Amino acid sequence: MTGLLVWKSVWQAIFEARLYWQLSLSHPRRVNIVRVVAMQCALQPLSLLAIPAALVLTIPFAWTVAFFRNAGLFAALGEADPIAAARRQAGLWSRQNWYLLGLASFAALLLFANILISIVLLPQLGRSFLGIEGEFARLGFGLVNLTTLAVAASITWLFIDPLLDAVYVLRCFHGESLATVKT
Amino acid sequence: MRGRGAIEISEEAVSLLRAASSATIATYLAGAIPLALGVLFFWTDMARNPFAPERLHWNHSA
Repeated sequence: MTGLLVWKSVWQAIFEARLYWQLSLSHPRRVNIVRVVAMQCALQPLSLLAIPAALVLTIPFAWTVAFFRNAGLFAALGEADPIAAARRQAGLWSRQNWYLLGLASFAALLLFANILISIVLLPQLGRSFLGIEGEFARLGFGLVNLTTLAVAASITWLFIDPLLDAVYVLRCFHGESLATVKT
Repeated sequence: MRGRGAIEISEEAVSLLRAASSATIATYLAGAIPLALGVLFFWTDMARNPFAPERLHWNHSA
């Protein structure tokens, strides 16, 4: 599981960097994989503790989420001090950050409900219209168990997570543009 | 300087993702799908396999 988490974090950082280059109309550069792996190995396990702790404390939650997403991006971009850059960008536009997280949570909830309804109803529709009589169709609403909920939650996360990545890439891009204009 | 609205930046994010190349999307999926499958496997294994707790590190070392 640890290996998978690091694997995902490294690819996520590269994905964010590619979005950033797309946004800044620059050609993709070579990512220093060793540096990104080292950075994500050092930081992302902390996020598993820091984000729930920040959620309990409430006030630093939005900043913490932004910081961990930004850190991966700046490491992949080859920033000299990715931690400082991530901290600087995470502190920008707190209200916007909170609204974005609220919006993403609401979207995730609706998407989760839609996916769950689809999982439960598709076998019934298959039986009604196509005559496919399978295990899932016979289970009916017994299909709603913890495993199905976990599958629906995973699919929801696969849609919402890249959207949040894109949102934080945009925030960093606007924040960096602001810094460039000021200097 | 005030930031953009949350709806506006969300719309920009969706546009950014829609404009992203398939290689960029594949970069994300290459990382996320194995983790999602791994978590689901771990979840079902721990929930349904009666011998699963024996494989947990803290049970094993005790």
